[in-house]
Amino acid sequence: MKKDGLDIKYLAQLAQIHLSSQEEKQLDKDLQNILHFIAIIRRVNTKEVEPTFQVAKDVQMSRPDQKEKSLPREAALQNAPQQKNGYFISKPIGWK
Amino acid sequence: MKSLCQLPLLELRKKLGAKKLSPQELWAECQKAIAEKDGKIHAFLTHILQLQLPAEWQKTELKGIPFAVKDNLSTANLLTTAGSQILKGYRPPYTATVVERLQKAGGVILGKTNCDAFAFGASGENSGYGPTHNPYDLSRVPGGSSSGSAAAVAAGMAVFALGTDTGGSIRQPAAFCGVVGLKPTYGRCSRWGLIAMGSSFDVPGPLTRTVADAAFLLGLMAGYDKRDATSSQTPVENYLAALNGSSVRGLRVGLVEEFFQHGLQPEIKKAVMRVADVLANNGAKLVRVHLPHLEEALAVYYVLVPAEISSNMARYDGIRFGWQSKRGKTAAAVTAFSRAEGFEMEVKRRILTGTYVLSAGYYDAYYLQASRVRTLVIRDFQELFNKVDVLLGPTTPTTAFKLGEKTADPVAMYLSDIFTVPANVAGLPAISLPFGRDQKNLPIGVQLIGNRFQEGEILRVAHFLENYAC
Repeated sequence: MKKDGLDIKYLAQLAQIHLSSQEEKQLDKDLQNILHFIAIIRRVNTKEVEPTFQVAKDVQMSRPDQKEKSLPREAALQNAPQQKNGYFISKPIGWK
Repeated sequence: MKSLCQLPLLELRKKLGAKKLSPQELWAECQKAIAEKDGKIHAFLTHILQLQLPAEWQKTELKGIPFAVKDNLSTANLLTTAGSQILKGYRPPYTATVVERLQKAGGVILGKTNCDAFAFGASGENSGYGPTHNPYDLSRVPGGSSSGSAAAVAAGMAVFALGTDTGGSIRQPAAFCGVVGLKPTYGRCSRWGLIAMGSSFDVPGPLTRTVADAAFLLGLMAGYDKRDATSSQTPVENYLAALNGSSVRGLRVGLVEEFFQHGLQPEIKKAVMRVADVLANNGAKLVRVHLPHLEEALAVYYVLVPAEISSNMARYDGIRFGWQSKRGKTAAAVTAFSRAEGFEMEVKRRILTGTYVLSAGYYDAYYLQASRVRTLVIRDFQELFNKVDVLLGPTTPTTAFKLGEKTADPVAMYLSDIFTVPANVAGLPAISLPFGRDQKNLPIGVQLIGNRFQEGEILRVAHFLENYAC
Protein backbone atom coordinates (compact mmCIF):
# COMPACT_ATOMS: atom_id res chain seq x y z
CA MET A 1 0.00 0.00 0.00
CA LYS A 2 1.23 3.43 -0.92
CA LYS A 3 0.02 6.97 -0.93
CA ASP A 4 -3.63 7.02 -2.09
CA GLY A 5 -3.91 3.35 -1.15
CA LEU A 6 -2.88 2.26 -4.62
CA ASP A 7 -2.35 -1.48 -4.50
CA ILE A 8 -2.02 -2.86 -8.02
CA LYS A 9 -2.08 -6.52 -6.96
CA TYR A 10 -5.38 -6.01 -5.12
CA LEU A 11 -6.92 -4.02 -8.01
CA ALA A 12 -5.87 -6.71 -10.48
CA GLN A 13 -7.51 -9.31 -8.29
CA LEU A 14 -10.74 -7.28 -8.11
CA ALA A 15 -10.64 -6.78 -11.88
CA GLN A 16 -9.84 -10.45 -12.53
CA ILE A 17 -6.75 -9.79 -14.62
CA HIS A 18 -3.57 -11.77 -14.09
CA LEU A 19 -0.64 -9.32 -14.36
CA SER A 20 3.02 -10.13 -14.94
CA SER A 21 5.43 -8.47 -12.51
CA GLN A 22 6.62 -6.22 -15.32
CA GLU A 23 3.05 -5.12 -16.05
CA GLU A 24 2.46 -4.53 -12.34
CA LYS A 25 5.44 -2.22 -12.23
CA GLN A 26 4.39 -0.34 -15.37
CA LEU A 27 0.74 -0.01 -14.34
CA ASP A 28 1.69 1.09 -10.86
CA LYS A 29 3.67 3.96 -12.35
CA ASP A 30 0.94 4.81 -14.90
CA LEU A 31 -1.83 4.78 -12.30
CA GLN A 32 0.18 7.03 -9.98
CA ASN A 33 0.36 9.56 -12.83
CA ILE A 34 -3.30 9.16 -13.73
CA LEU A 35 -4.39 9.58 -10.09
CA HIS A 36 -2.25 12.67 -9.80
CA PHE A 37 -3.97 14.05 -12.91
CA ILE A 38 -7.57 13.22 -11.92
CA ALA A 39 -7.04 14.52 -8.37
CA ILE A 40 -7.85 18.03 -9.66
CA ILE A 41 -11.55 17.23 -9.33
CA ARG A 42 -11.05 17.08 -5.58
CA ARG A 43 -10.42 20.82 -5.42
CA VAL A 44 -13.91 21.64 -6.73
CA ASN A 45 -16.51 22.62 -4.16
CA THR A 46 -19.48 20.34 -4.80
CA LYS A 47 -21.40 20.95 -1.61
CA GLU A 48 -25.12 20.69 -2.40
CA VAL A 49 -24.44 19.65 -6.02
CA GLU A 50 -26.36 16.57 -7.11
CA PRO A 51 -24.38 13.94 -9.03
CA THR A 52 -25.18 13.23 -12.70
CA PHE A 53 -25.21 9.56 -13.61
CA GLN A 54 -26.99 9.92 -16.92
CA VAL A 55 -27.23 12.99 -19.17
CA ALA A 56 -30.28 11.76 -21.05
CA LYS A 57 -32.75 12.85 -18.40
CA ASP A 58 -35.56 13.18 -20.93
CA VAL A 59 -35.34 9.59 -22.12
CA GLN A 60 -34.77 6.51 -19.93
CA MET A 61 -38.26 5.31 -20.77
CA SER A 62 -39.12 1.81 -19.68
CA ARG A 63 -40.66 -0.19 -22.47
CA PRO A 64 -43.82 -2.17 -21.83
CA ASP A 65 -43.10 -5.40 -19.99
CA GLN A 66 -43.90 -7.73 -22.85
CA LYS A 67 -42.49 -11.11 -23.67
CA GLU A 68 -40.16 -10.95 -26.68
CA LYS A 69 -38.06 -13.43 -28.56
CA SER A 70 -34.60 -13.79 -27.07
CA LEU A 71 -31.41 -14.66 -28.93
CA PRO A 72 -31.67 -18.26 -30.15
CA ARG A 73 -29.49 -20.68 -28.17
CA GLU A 74 -27.29 -21.52 -31.17
CA ALA A 75 -26.61 -17.82 -31.76
CA ALA A 76 -25.74 -17.26 -28.12
CA LEU A 77 -23.32 -20.18 -28.26
CA GLN A 78 -21.78 -19.49 -31.66
CA ASN A 79 -18.75 -17.68 -30.20
CA ALA A 80 -18.18 -19.92 -27.18
CA PRO A 81 -14.61 -21.28 -27.02
CA GLN A 82 -16.03 -24.59 -25.78
CA GLN A 83 -19.58 -25.88 -25.76
CA LYS A 84 -21.45 -29.14 -25.44
CA ASN A 85 -25.12 -30.13 -25.71
CA GLY A 86 -26.20 -26.50 -25.92
CA TYR A 87 -24.22 -25.37 -22.87
CA PHE A 88 -21.02 -23.42 -22.29
CA ILE A 89 -18.16 -25.51 -20.94
CA SER A 90 -16.25 -24.01 -18.06
CA LYS A 91 -13.59 -25.18 -15.61
CA PRO A 92 -14.85 -25.83 -12.06
CA ILE A 93 -16.11 -22.75 -10.24
CA GLY A 94 -13.69 -21.65 -7.54
CA TRP A 95 -10.88 -19.24 -6.94
CA LYS A 96 -7.24 -19.82 -7.99
CA MET B 1 -8.75 13.66 -61.51
CA LYS B 2 -10.57 12.53 -58.43
CA SER B 3 -11.45 8.87 -58.20
CA LEU B 4 -15.14 8.08 -57.82
CA CYS B 5 -14.97 7.23 -54.14
CA GLN B 6 -13.40 10.62 -53.43
CA LEU B 7 -16.65 12.30 -54.45
CA PRO B 8 -19.23 13.34 -51.86
CA LEU B 9 -21.93 10.81 -51.06
CA LEU B 10 -24.72 13.09 -52.25
CA GLU B 11 -23.06 13.59 -55.63
CA LEU B 12 -22.63 9.83 -56.07
CA ARG B 13 -26.22 9.28 -55.02
CA LYS B 14 -27.34 11.65 -57.76
CA LYS B 15 -25.19 9.88 -60.37
CA LEU B 16 -26.50 6.49 -59.28
CA GLY B 17 -30.09 7.75 -59.35
CA ALA B 18 -29.60 9.15 -62.86
CA LYS B 19 -27.96 5.87 -63.96
CA LYS B 20 -24.75 7.71 -64.86
CA LEU B 21 -22.94 5.34 -62.56
CA SER B 22 -23.58 1.79 -61.42
CA PRO B 23 -23.04 0.53 -57.85
CA GLN B 24 -20.73 -2.12 -59.35
CA GLU B 25 -18.45 0.54 -60.81
CA LEU B 26 -18.35 2.43 -57.53
CA TRP B 27 -17.65 -0.76 -55.57
CA ALA B 28 -14.81 -1.63 -57.97
CA GLU B 29 -13.30 1.86 -57.50
CA CYS B 30 -13.30 1.43 -53.72
CA GLN B 31 -11.71 -2.03 -54.08
CA LYS B 32 -9.04 -0.56 -56.32
CA ALA B 33 -8.28 2.22 -53.85
CA ILE B 34 -8.04 -0.29 -50.99
CA ALA B 35 -5.74 -2.57 -52.96
CA GLU B 36 -3.49 0.39 -53.83
CA LYS B 37 -3.41 2.18 -50.50
CA ASP B 38 -4.40 0.08 -47.55
CA GLY B 39 -1.19 -1.93 -47.40
CA LYS B 40 0.46 1.24 -46.10
CA ILE B 41 -2.45 2.87 -44.25
CA HIS B 42 -3.99 -0.20 -42.57
CA ALA B 43 -7.45 1.31 -42.17
CA PHE B 44 -9.31 -1.98 -42.58
CA LEU B 45 -9.29 -4.99 -40.27
CA THR B 46 -11.85 -6.87 -42.36
CA HIS B 47 -12.46 -6.09 -45.98
CA ILE B 48 -15.28 -7.50 -48.08
CA LEU B 49 -14.50 -8.37 -51.67
CA GLN B 50 -17.85 -9.38 -53.12
CA LEU B 51 -20.56 -6.79 -53.58
CA GLN B 52 -23.96 -7.95 -52.37
CA LEU B 53 -26.39 -5.37 -53.62
CA PRO B 54 -29.70 -5.01 -51.83
CA ALA B 55 -32.76 -5.92 -53.86
CA GLU B 56 -34.33 -2.91 -55.54
CA TRP B 57 -31.36 -0.73 -54.62
CA GLN B 58 -32.57 1.87 -57.11
CA LYS B 59 -35.47 2.68 -54.79
CA THR B 60 -33.32 3.08 -51.68
CA GLU B 61 -31.83 6.26 -50.22
CA LEU B 62 -28.21 5.11 -50.41
CA LYS B 63 -28.47 3.25 -53.74
CA GLY B 64 -25.82 0.66 -52.98
CA ILE B 65 -23.14 3.12 -51.82
CA PRO B 66 -20.35 1.31 -49.96
CA PHE B 67 -19.39 2.42 -46.45
CA ALA B 68 -16.89 1.42 -43.81
CA VAL B 69 -17.86 0.54 -40.25
CA LYS B 70 -15.71 0.99 -37.15
CA ASP B 71 -14.94 -2.41 -35.73
CA ASN B 72 -16.63 -1.74 -32.37
CA LEU B 73 -20.02 -1.69 -34.09
CA SER B 74 -21.54 -5.18 -34.25
CA THR B 75 -22.23 -6.64 -37.68
CA ALA B 76 -24.07 -9.96 -37.83
CA ASN B 77 -21.77 -12.85 -38.70
CA LEU B 78 -19.08 -10.44 -39.87
CA LEU B 79 -15.85 -10.31 -37.83
CA THR B 80 -16.11 -7.67 -35.11
CA THR B 81 -13.05 -7.35 -32.89
CA ALA B 82 -13.38 -3.81 -31.52
CA GLY B 83 -9.65 -3.62 -32.26
CA SER B 84 -8.87 -6.01 -29.41
CA GLN B 85 -7.21 -9.41 -29.48
CA ILE B 86 -9.70 -10.65 -26.90
CA LEU B 87 -12.39 -10.57 -29.62
CA LYS B 88 -10.26 -12.10 -32.36
CA GLY B 89 -12.55 -14.23 -34.49
CA TYR B 90 -15.73 -12.96 -32.84
CA ARG B 91 -18.81 -12.91 -35.09
CA PRO B 92 -21.77 -11.14 -33.48
CA PRO B 93 -25.18 -12.75 -33.78
CA TYR B 94 -26.78 -9.35 -34.47
CA THR B 95 -26.15 -5.99 -36.16
CA ALA B 96 -25.95 -2.61 -34.45
CA THR B 97 -29.06 -0.49 -35.00
CA VAL B 98 -27.24 2.36 -36.77
CA VAL B 99 -25.57 -0.06 -39.19
CA GLU B 100 -28.82 -1.90 -39.79
CA ARG B 101 -30.60 1.37 -40.55
CA LEU B 102 -28.01 2.28 -43.17
CA GLN B 103 -28.21 -1.18 -44.69
CA LYS B 104 -31.99 -0.92 -44.87
CA ALA B 105 -31.46 2.44 -46.58
CA GLY B 106 -29.44 0.68 -49.28
CA GLY B 107 -25.89 1.12 -47.97
CA VAL B 108 -23.43 -1.76 -48.40
CA ILE B 109 -20.71 -2.59 -45.88
CA LEU B 110 -17.28 -2.44 -47.46
CA GLY B 111 -15.36 -3.52 -44.40
CA LYS B 112 -14.63 -3.02 -40.72
CA THR B 113 -12.14 -0.40 -39.71
CA ASN B 114 -9.22 -0.42 -37.30
CA CYS B 115 -9.54 1.38 -33.98
CA ASP B 116 -7.90 1.62 -30.59
CA ALA B 117 -8.87 -1.52 -28.66
CA PHE B 118 -12.45 -1.04 -27.46
CA ALA B 119 -12.11 2.59 -28.62
CA PHE B 120 -9.74 3.44 -25.75
CA GLY B 121 -7.31 5.89 -27.26
CA ALA B 122 -6.64 9.01 -29.28
CA SER B 123 -4.09 7.76 -31.81
CA GLY B 124 -5.06 4.29 -33.01
CA GLU B 125 -1.89 2.91 -31.46
CA ASN B 126 -3.82 0.93 -28.85
CA SER B 127 -5.24 -1.36 -31.54
CA GLY B 128 -4.43 -5.00 -30.95
CA TYR B 129 -3.84 -5.36 -34.69
CA GLY B 130 -1.22 -2.68 -35.31
CA PRO B 131 -1.77 1.02 -35.87
CA THR B 132 -3.42 2.84 -38.76
CA HIS B 133 -1.28 5.46 -40.51
CA ASN B 134 -2.36 8.97 -41.41
CA PRO B 135 -2.92 9.22 -45.20
CA TYR B 136 -1.41 12.74 -45.19
CA ASP B 137 1.84 11.56 -43.60
CA LEU B 138 2.37 7.86 -42.99
CA SER B 139 4.75 8.53 -40.08
CA ARG B 140 1.90 10.18 -38.17
CA VAL B 141 -1.18 8.91 -36.35
CA PRO B 142 -4.63 9.31 -37.92
CA GLY B 143 -6.07 10.11 -34.49
CA GLY B 144 -8.39 7.83 -32.64
CA SER B 145 -10.17 5.94 -31.73
CA SER B 146 -12.09 5.89 -35.05
CA SER B 147 -8.70 5.75 -36.79
CA GLY B 148 -9.47 3.47 -39.72
CA SER B 149 -12.82 5.15 -40.41
CA ALA B 150 -11.22 8.59 -40.72
CA ALA B 151 -8.26 7.29 -42.73
CA ALA B 152 -10.49 5.27 -45.09
CA VAL B 153 -12.57 8.33 -45.97
CA ALA B 154 -9.53 10.63 -46.20
CA ALA B 155 -7.68 8.25 -48.52
CA GLY B 156 -10.71 7.78 -50.77
CA MET B 157 -11.09 4.10 -49.91
CA ALA B 158 -14.66 4.53 -48.63
CA VAL B 159 -17.34 7.08 -49.49
CA PHE B 160 -18.19 7.49 -45.83
CA ALA B 161 -17.64 5.66 -42.57
CA LEU B 162 -19.23 5.15 -39.19
CA GLY B 163 -17.40 5.88 -36.00
CA THR B 164 -18.20 6.18 -32.32
CA ASP B 165 -17.42 9.09 -30.02
CA THR B 166 -17.00 8.72 -26.26
CA GLY B 167 -14.52 11.57 -25.71
CA GLY B 168 -13.68 12.76 -29.22
CA SER B 169 -13.20 9.50 -31.11
CA ILE B 170 -15.06 10.75 -34.19
CA ARG B 171 -14.03 14.43 -34.16
CA GLN B 172 -10.33 14.07 -33.31
CA PRO B 173 -9.46 11.58 -36.10
CA ALA B 174 -11.68 13.59 -38.47
CA ALA B 175 -9.56 16.66 -37.64
CA PHE B 176 -6.26 14.77 -38.05
CA CYS B 177 -7.36 13.30 -41.40
CA GLY B 178 -9.09 16.34 -42.89
CA VAL B 179 -12.64 14.98 -43.01
CA VAL B 180 -15.96 15.94 -41.42
CA GLY B 181 -16.82 14.17 -38.15
CA LEU B 182 -20.19 14.50 -36.44
CA LYS B 183 -20.82 13.49 -32.84
CA PRO B 184 -24.58 13.59 -32.29
CA THR B 185 -26.31 14.41 -28.99
CA TYR B 186 -26.13 11.54 -26.51
CA GLY B 187 -29.31 9.53 -27.13
CA ARG B 188 -29.84 10.83 -30.70
CA CYS B 189 -28.47 7.61 -32.28
CA SER B 190 -29.04 4.20 -30.76
CA ARG B 191 -26.14 2.53 -28.97
CA TRP B 192 -27.59 -0.94 -29.46
CA GLY B 193 -24.86 -3.16 -30.88
CA LEU B 194 -22.13 -0.63 -30.11
CA ILE B 195 -19.59 -2.53 -28.03
CA ALA B 196 -19.88 -0.60 -24.78
CA MET B 197 -17.09 1.63 -23.51
CA GLY B 198 -18.53 4.44 -21.38
CA SER B 199 -22.26 3.83 -21.60
CA SER B 200 -23.29 7.28 -20.42
CA PHE B 201 -20.95 8.90 -23.00
CA ASP B 202 -20.87 6.64 -26.12
CA VAL B 203 -22.57 7.74 -29.32
CA PRO B 204 -22.22 6.56 -32.93
CA GLY B 205 -21.93 9.06 -35.79
CA PRO B 206 -20.71 9.56 -39.37
CA LEU B 207 -17.33 10.55 -40.85
CA THR B 208 -17.80 12.10 -44.27
CA ARG B 209 -16.29 14.23 -46.98
CA THR B 210 -18.85 17.03 -46.65
CA VAL B 211 -21.20 18.51 -44.05
CA ALA B 212 -24.22 17.83 -46.26
CA ASP B 213 -23.24 14.13 -46.37
CA ALA B 214 -23.14 14.07 -42.56
CA ALA B 215 -26.54 15.79 -42.36
CA PHE B 216 -28.03 13.30 -44.79
CA LEU B 217 -26.62 10.30 -42.91
CA LEU B 218 -27.69 11.56 -39.49
CA GLY B 219 -31.25 11.69 -40.81
CA LEU B 220 -30.98 7.99 -41.70
CA MET B 221 -29.25 6.90 -38.48
CA ALA B 222 -31.02 8.92 -35.79
CA GLY B 223 -34.18 8.14 -33.90
CA TYR B 224 -35.68 6.13 -31.10
CA ASP B 225 -34.78 2.48 -30.75
CA LYS B 226 -36.66 0.43 -28.22
CA ARG B 227 -33.55 -1.71 -27.70
CA ASP B 228 -31.65 1.26 -26.24
CA ALA B 229 -33.42 2.73 -23.21
CA THR B 230 -31.31 5.88 -23.48
CA SER B 231 -32.23 6.58 -27.10
CA SER B 232 -34.38 9.68 -27.40
CA GLN B 233 -37.92 10.03 -28.68
CA THR B 234 -37.21 13.61 -29.79
CA PRO B 235 -38.38 13.78 -33.43
CA VAL B 236 -35.68 13.47 -36.10
CA GLU B 237 -35.39 16.63 -38.21
CA ASN B 238 -34.74 16.82 -41.91
CA TYR B 239 -31.14 17.87 -41.35
CA LEU B 240 -30.35 18.06 -45.04
CA ALA B 241 -33.24 20.38 -45.88
CA ALA B 242 -32.20 22.62 -42.98
CA LEU B 243 -28.91 23.35 -44.78
CA ASN B 244 -30.61 25.16 -47.64
CA GLY B 245 -30.03 28.87 -47.71
CA SER B 246 -27.70 28.75 -44.73
CA SER B 247 -27.13 32.21 -43.35
CA VAL B 248 -25.36 33.13 -40.15
CA ARG B 249 -26.82 36.62 -39.82
CA GLY B 250 -27.72 37.24 -36.20
CA LEU B 251 -26.16 33.97 -35.05
CA ARG B 252 -24.56 34.25 -31.60
CA VAL B 253 -21.21 32.45 -31.62
CA GLY B 254 -19.41 31.77 -28.35
CA LEU B 255 -15.61 31.78 -28.29
CA VAL B 256 -14.51 29.88 -25.21
CA GLU B 257 -11.53 31.75 -23.71
CA GLU B 258 -10.16 28.62 -22.06
CA PHE B 259 -9.91 26.89 -25.46
CA PHE B 260 -7.08 29.24 -26.38
CA GLN B 261 -4.92 28.61 -23.35
CA HIS B 262 -4.03 24.95 -23.49
CA GLY B 263 -0.86 24.71 -25.55
CA LEU B 264 -2.84 25.38 -28.69
CA GLN B 265 -0.75 25.15 -31.88
CA PRO B 266 -0.57 28.71 -33.30
CA GLU B 267 -1.78 27.67 -36.77
CA ILE B 268 -4.87 26.06 -35.24
CA LYS B 269 -5.58 29.20 -33.25
CA LYS B 270 -5.25 31.17 -36.47
CA ALA B 271 -7.69 28.85 -38.27
CA VAL B 272 -10.27 29.24 -35.50
CA MET B 273 -9.89 33.03 -35.58
CA ARG B 274 -10.26 32.94 -39.35
CA VAL B 275 -13.55 31.06 -38.91
CA ALA B 276 -14.62 33.65 -36.34
CA ASP B 277 -13.84 36.43 -38.83
CA VAL B 278 -15.83 34.73 -41.59
CA LEU B 279 -18.81 34.42 -39.27
CA ALA B 280 -18.52 38.00 -38.02
CA ASN B 281 -18.15 39.35 -41.57
CA ASN B 282 -21.38 37.61 -42.47
CA GLY B 283 -23.43 39.09 -39.69
CA ALA B 284 -22.84 36.71 -36.78
CA LYS B 285 -22.21 38.15 -33.35
CA LEU B 286 -19.09 36.91 -31.55
CA VAL B 287 -19.34 36.56 -27.80
CA ARG B 288 -16.35 35.81 -25.55
CA VAL B 289 -17.43 33.21 -23.00
CA HIS B 290 -15.93 31.00 -20.30
CA LEU B 291 -15.97 27.31 -19.56
CA PRO B 292 -14.68 27.53 -16.00
CA HIS B 293 -14.37 23.76 -15.48
CA LEU B 294 -12.56 22.81 -18.69
CA GLU B 295 -9.61 21.05 -17.04
CA GLU B 296 -11.89 19.45 -14.50
CA ALA B 297 -14.14 18.20 -17.31
CA LEU B 298 -11.20 16.22 -18.68
CA ALA B 299 -10.48 14.79 -15.23
CA VAL B 300 -14.18 13.96 -14.76
CA TYR B 301 -14.02 12.06 -18.02
CA TYR B 302 -10.95 10.08 -16.93
CA VAL B 303 -12.70 9.07 -13.71
CA LEU B 304 -16.18 8.25 -14.96
CA VAL B 305 -15.29 6.60 -18.27
CA PRO B 306 -12.78 4.14 -16.73
CA ALA B 307 -15.38 3.41 -14.05
CA GLU B 308 -17.96 2.56 -16.71
CA ILE B 309 -15.30 0.67 -18.65
CA SER B 310 -14.32 -1.49 -15.70
CA SER B 311 -17.94 -2.48 -15.30
CA ASN B 312 -18.59 -2.97 -19.05
CA MET B 313 -15.44 -5.05 -19.54
CA ALA B 314 -16.50 -7.55 -16.86
CA ARG B 315 -18.35 -9.46 -19.59
CA TYR B 316 -15.09 -10.72 -21.13
CA ASP B 317 -14.77 -13.86 -19.07
CA GLY B 318 -13.06 -16.18 -21.55
CA ILE B 319 -15.97 -18.61 -21.30
CA ARG B 320 -19.00 -17.34 -23.20
CA PHE B 321 -17.19 -15.64 -26.10
CA GLY B 322 -13.83 -14.16 -26.93
CA TRP B 323 -10.33 -15.42 -26.25
CA GLN B 324 -9.92 -18.32 -23.82
CA SER B 325 -6.58 -18.96 -22.14
CA LYS B 326 -5.11 -22.44 -22.03
CA ARG B 327 -3.98 -21.70 -18.47
CA GLY B 328 -5.99 -21.92 -15.22
CA LYS B 329 -7.62 -24.80 -13.40
CA THR B 330 -10.76 -22.99 -12.24
CA ALA B 331 -13.27 -20.79 -14.08
CA ALA B 332 -11.97 -17.69 -12.25
CA ALA B 333 -8.36 -18.48 -13.13
CA VAL B 334 -9.28 -19.07 -16.78
CA THR B 335 -10.99 -15.68 -16.76
CA ALA B 336 -8.00 -13.91 -15.18
CA PHE B 337 -5.55 -15.51 -17.64
CA SER B 338 -7.84 -14.91 -20.66
CA ARG B 339 -8.13 -11.23 -19.73
CA ALA B 340 -4.37 -11.07 -19.17
CA GLU B 341 -3.64 -12.49 -22.62
CA GLY B 342 -6.50 -10.87 -24.57
CA PHE B 343 -6.58 -7.30 -23.27
CA GLU B 344 -4.16 -4.68 -24.58
CA MET B 345 -2.16 -2.58 -22.09
CA GLU B 346 -4.45 0.47 -22.32
CA VAL B 347 -7.48 -1.74 -21.69
CA LYS B 348 -5.84 -3.05 -18.52
CA ARG B 349 -4.85 0.48 -17.52
CA ARG B 350 -8.41 1.77 -17.82
CA ILE B 351 -10.01 -1.22 -16.13
CA LEU B 352 -7.66 -0.84 -13.16
CA THR B 353 -8.22 2.93 -12.96
CA GLY B 354 -11.96 2.32 -13.03
CA THR B 355 -11.70 -0.41 -10.43
CA TYR B 356 -9.76 1.96 -8.19
CA VAL B 357 -12.22 4.87 -8.42
CA LEU B 358 -15.15 2.54 -7.75
CA SER B 359 -13.56 0.63 -4.88
CA ALA B 360 -14.68 1.07 -1.28
CA GLY B 361 -12.88 3.98 0.33
CA TYR B 362 -12.31 5.85 -2.96
CA TYR B 363 -15.80 5.81 -4.46
CA ASP B 364 -16.88 9.03 -2.73
CA ALA B 365 -13.65 10.90 -3.36
CA TYR B 366 -13.42 9.99 -7.05
CA TYR B 367 -16.51 8.47 -8.66
CA LEU B 368 -19.16 10.39 -6.72
CA GLN B 369 -17.16 13.62 -6.73
CA ALA B 370 -16.62 13.32 -10.50
CA SER B 371 -20.36 12.75 -10.98
CA ARG B 372 -21.03 15.96 -9.04
CA VAL B 373 -18.46 17.93 -11.04
CA ARG B 374 -20.15 16.54 -14.16
CA THR B 375 -23.31 18.36 -13.01
CA LEU B 376 -21.30 21.60 -12.78
CA VAL B 377 -19.91 21.14 -16.30
CA ILE B 378 -23.46 20.61 -17.60
CA ARG B 379 -24.55 23.79 -15.78
CA ASP B 380 -21.66 25.73 -17.30
CA PHE B 381 -22.87 24.74 -20.75
CA GLN B 382 -26.51 25.51 -19.92
CA GLU B 383 -25.50 29.02 -18.93
CA LEU B 384 -23.45 29.42 -22.10
CA PHE B 385 -26.34 28.37 -24.29
CA ASN B 386 -28.49 31.08 -22.71
CA LYS B 387 -26.07 33.57 -24.23
CA VAL B 388 -25.01 31.92 -27.51
CA ASP B 389 -26.37 29.59 -30.20
CA VAL B 390 -23.17 27.67 -30.94
CA LEU B 391 -19.68 27.43 -29.49
CA LEU B 392 -16.66 27.67 -31.74
CA GLY B 393 -13.22 26.30 -30.94
CA PRO B 394 -10.44 24.01 -32.07
CA THR B 395 -11.02 20.25 -32.27
CA THR B 396 -7.50 19.38 -31.11
CA PRO B 397 -4.56 21.23 -29.48
CA THR B 398 -2.19 20.11 -32.28
CA THR B 399 -2.37 18.59 -35.73
CA ALA B 400 -1.55 14.87 -36.18
CA PHE B 401 1.42 13.82 -34.05
CA LYS B 402 4.05 11.21 -34.85
CA LEU B 403 3.46 7.51 -34.23
CA GLY B 404 5.12 6.62 -30.94
CA GLU B 405 5.32 10.24 -29.79
CA LYS B 406 2.91 9.88 -26.87
CA THR B 407 2.71 6.15 -26.21
CA ALA B 408 5.06 6.25 -23.22
CA ASP B 409 3.00 8.85 -21.40
CA PRO B 410 -0.70 7.97 -21.01
CA VAL B 411 -1.54 11.32 -19.39
CA ALA B 412 -0.01 13.27 -22.31
CA MET B 413 -2.19 11.16 -24.62
CA TYR B 414 -5.27 11.89 -22.47
CA LEU B 415 -4.60 15.64 -22.68
CA SER B 416 -5.02 15.56 -26.46
CA ASP B 417 -8.76 15.07 -25.77
CA ILE B 418 -9.19 18.31 -23.85
CA PHE B 419 -11.32 20.17 -26.42
CA THR B 420 -13.49 17.24 -27.43
CA VAL B 421 -14.28 15.67 -24.04
CA PRO B 422 -16.50 18.47 -22.62
CA ALA B 423 -19.24 17.84 -25.22
CA ASN B 424 -19.36 14.18 -24.15
CA VAL B 425 -19.42 15.00 -20.44
CA ALA B 426 -22.53 17.12 -21.11
CA GLY B 427 -23.98 14.89 -23.88
CA LEU B 428 -23.95 17.72 -26.47
CA PRO B 429 -23.71 17.48 -30.28
CA ALA B 430 -20.47 18.66 -31.90
CA ILE B 431 -18.88 18.62 -35.32
CA SER B 432 -15.30 18.83 -36.55
CA LEU B 433 -14.84 20.55 -39.87
CA PRO B 434 -11.55 20.60 -41.83
CA PHE B 435 -10.36 24.18 -42.12
CA GLY B 436 -7.00 24.67 -43.80
CA ARG B 437 -3.62 23.06 -43.19
CA ASP B 438 -0.63 23.79 -41.00
CA GLN B 439 2.93 24.45 -42.22
CA LYS B 440 3.57 20.73 -42.56
CA ASN B 441 0.49 20.52 -44.78
CA LEU B 442 -1.42 18.58 -42.12
CA PRO B 443 -5.17 19.15 -41.84
CA ILE B 444 -6.59 21.42 -39.13
CA GLY B 445 -10.03 20.78 -37.61
CA VAL B 446 -12.31 23.39 -36.11
CA GLN B 447 -15.14 22.41 -33.83
CA LEU B 448 -18.68 23.64 -33.36
CA ILE B 449 -20.59 22.56 -30.27
CA GLY B 450 -24.37 22.95 -30.04
CA ASN B 451 -27.02 22.67 -27.40
CA ARG B 452 -28.75 19.31 -26.88
CA PHE B 453 -30.51 18.10 -30.04
CA GLN B 454 -29.34 21.17 -31.99
CA GLU B 455 -27.54 19.09 -34.62
CA GLY B 456 -29.46 21.09 -37.26
CA GLU B 457 -27.86 24.30 -36.02
CA ILE B 458 -24.22 23.12 -35.96
CA LEU B 459 -24.64 21.40 -39.32
CA ARG B 460 -26.08 24.57 -40.82
CA VAL B 461 -23.18 26.72 -39.57
CA ALA B 462 -20.59 24.11 -40.61
CA HIS B 463 -22.17 23.90 -44.07
CA PHE B 464 -21.94 27.68 -44.38
CA LEU B 465 -18.27 27.64 -43.35
CA GLU B 466 -17.35 24.83 -45.73
CA ASN B 467 -17.25 27.27 -48.66
CA TYR B 468 -14.51 29.24 -46.92
CA ALA B 469 -12.45 26.26 -45.85
CA CYS B 470 -9.53 26.24 -48.22
